[in-house]
Amino acid sequence: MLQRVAALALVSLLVAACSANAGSGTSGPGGDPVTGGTLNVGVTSDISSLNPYDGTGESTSMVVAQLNAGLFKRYKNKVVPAIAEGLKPSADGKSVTITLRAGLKFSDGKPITPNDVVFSIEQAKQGGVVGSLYKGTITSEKAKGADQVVLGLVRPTINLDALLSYTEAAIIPAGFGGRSKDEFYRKPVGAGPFAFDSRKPGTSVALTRNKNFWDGKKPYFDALNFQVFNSVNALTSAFQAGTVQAVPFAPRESVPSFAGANIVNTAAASTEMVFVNGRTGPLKNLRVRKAISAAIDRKAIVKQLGGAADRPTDTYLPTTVLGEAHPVPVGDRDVARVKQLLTGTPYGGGVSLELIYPTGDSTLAMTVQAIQENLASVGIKLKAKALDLSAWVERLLSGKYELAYQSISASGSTAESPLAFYVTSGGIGGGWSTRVAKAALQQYQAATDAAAQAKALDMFQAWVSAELPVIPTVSVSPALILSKKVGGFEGMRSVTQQSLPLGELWLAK
Amino acid sequence: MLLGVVRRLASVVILLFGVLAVVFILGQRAPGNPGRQLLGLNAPQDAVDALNHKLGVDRSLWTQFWSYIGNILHGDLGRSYSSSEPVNGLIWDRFDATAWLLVAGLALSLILSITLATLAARYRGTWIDTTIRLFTVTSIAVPTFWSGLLLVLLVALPTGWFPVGGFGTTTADHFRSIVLPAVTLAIATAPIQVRVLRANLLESLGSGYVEAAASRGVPRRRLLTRHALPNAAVPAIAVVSIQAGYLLFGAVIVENTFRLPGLGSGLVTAITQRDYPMINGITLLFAVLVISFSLIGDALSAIVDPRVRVS
Repeated sequence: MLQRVAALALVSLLVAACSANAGSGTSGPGGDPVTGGTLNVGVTSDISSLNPYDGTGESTSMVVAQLNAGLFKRYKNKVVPAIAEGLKPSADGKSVTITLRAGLKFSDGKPITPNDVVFSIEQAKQGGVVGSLYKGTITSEKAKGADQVVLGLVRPTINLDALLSYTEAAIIPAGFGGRSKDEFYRKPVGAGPFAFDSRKPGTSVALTRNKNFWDGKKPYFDALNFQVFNSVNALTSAFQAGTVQAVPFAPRESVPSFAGANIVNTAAASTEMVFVNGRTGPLKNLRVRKAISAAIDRKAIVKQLGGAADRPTDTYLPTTVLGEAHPVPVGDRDVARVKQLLTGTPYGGGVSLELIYPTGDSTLAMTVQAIQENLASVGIKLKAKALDLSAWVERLLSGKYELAYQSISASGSTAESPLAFYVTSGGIGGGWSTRVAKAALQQYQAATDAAAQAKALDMFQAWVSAELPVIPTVSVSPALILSKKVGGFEGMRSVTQQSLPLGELWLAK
Repeated sequence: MLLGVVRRLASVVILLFGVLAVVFILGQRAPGNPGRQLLGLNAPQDAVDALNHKLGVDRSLWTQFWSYIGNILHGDLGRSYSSSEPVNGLIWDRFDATAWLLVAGLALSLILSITLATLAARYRGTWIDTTIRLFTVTSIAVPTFWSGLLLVLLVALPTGWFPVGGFGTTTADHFRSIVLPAVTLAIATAPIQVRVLRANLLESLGSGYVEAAASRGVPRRRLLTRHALPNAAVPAIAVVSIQAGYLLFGAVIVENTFRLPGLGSGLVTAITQRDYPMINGITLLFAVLVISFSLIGDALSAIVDPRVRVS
């Protein structure tokens, strides 16, 4: 009896997998957007905060992005005005005047004033890595009249609008709307397409349509309901039963099990890479580092990951970054070169290394396993050790590792956050010089045109390619799983999942 | 009698203290820290240090432990690191789903085990007995998450009679949502009860008082239900009280499989977030419940069997 049941279940699973492969694609309902309904979004991790300035984690960023709006936003590979009408630099470029749209209101119906913008920028400056970027760019913020804000700048900044399009540049009511900070973030008010309704920690976050949203008919849904699933199996079942219609950040190995889904590959905001500790034994030797890089079969890893938009990469910066360094040609795995490189070192007979990586990301784990196999075949024995994220970070930043694997993501659409992270982490704990990164960051920020920005990034990338303090491997494009009933997903491909504009989506009747 | 009760209560307090101490120290000794876990890789170290200071996890282990114990004695389980809400409230919010699951799972498990054990004893050595014994062996071997997944794939998805997950908002929703999780729990726990009860029933059926009753012409069904079953139930009560504790831990898996917002799924979430106050709070409650089930089992045994009372 049980065997029959098990066999039936196995058949069901296979049918589900086959139908997912056969039925998946990116076709959805056509026609005009439909207003109304609730979009149930399944996520595999709960939010950690509703504070846009210090919230971290994929789910947190995504929920915060629905509740808030900034002065600018990134959409379809461009930075476009959001609640700002536009910005006008002064003649010397040392200040800009930002004009707000007319009639703006927060989700609680109160008007958005220049004082709110000033207060929000002050809050953003107190944030983490991004806060230090704001502090390093904006010297002052002052309200001017009923609808303008003047920002003093450290230097003329060509991508200020991009910097102000970060999720961390959200506009909130001045003085937290008369509440304490803690009270405010328990039930926040923002200018995003959705308004906060309720939260059950570890279970769900419910948002409702912001009737005061500035952008025309959007959002189309009446409500957004984020449901937290501790089990991917439960999430898959909920999707198949139709109780969940959207699954962002879908674990890569689970994608085939979403039968009949639209699989939308969103922008790759992160690059996976091996961090190298240049202070430890064999890794001090450039030839060993080059051998490791040459031994990794990036193309095979991409094929194994199975994402249609994943790419092999040798570049530190994620592809979503504006003014991205000119891509470095990705070399094929070259076993002969690996052997040649190792022969000239004391490690010609083989070398053993430990690679640490954080738990909780199955895509990372898959890649680590592939790298382990790649290196084993050329005599480099890799002991892979999965660590809790905080333990992994502690080991990394204290330099107590040989190799570490993780993805580096850009908070927004400029190269500043990944470059600043490299600098503030002291070359990511590996004892590397941060001189080139600092110089590149300064040149990037001082650049007066896109060509000068690209030149700064190229300089940093050339140093990375020559010294290999990190060994980039793949650029992973996360999958957004949508029910075939969900329309309006075309714009999702060019944005990161952390800032998905769910207000653009709609549900066919 | 009074001394026995006092002795039992003292052992309960020591046991609870031991559980708390072990969970607390293990959590604190695990590598990493909550500040980094909550703020992520990109957060500057000073922000992480500030958060750890705010949470109080930068104090010495013993300071933290005694402070925690002091708060517990005042009924305060602390605040969740991840949501900043009081743990008492968060646990209470989640208690509902777990209570439904435990009650329904235990009820189904008892119905299933009494029915199957009685049938197996009544038809000893026949194909019915063999089938039931085969069921118990295979049920013990099948992992709980797997049977839950099978029920979702073979019942919930094709028929739509029951939701694949969630708990709903109304009582009717709760009834519908709890059926498959309760069946999953019952499948996991009933087999041992069936085996124990069957063995006890067979022993009772072979005893002198049953044979005497049979010789007086008492019908076989009455012999089984009125004479053998009550006597066979006494040892089974001890097993059921232990199984009730097992149900609680089975709930951790079942709640995650069916996305029930109960204490089990709360525990998993808390562990992944390094939310120590939540982990400690739920573990403490689990310990209290397991001990309570055991005490209730002892009390029931004493009520049913005077020999237990005397001992």
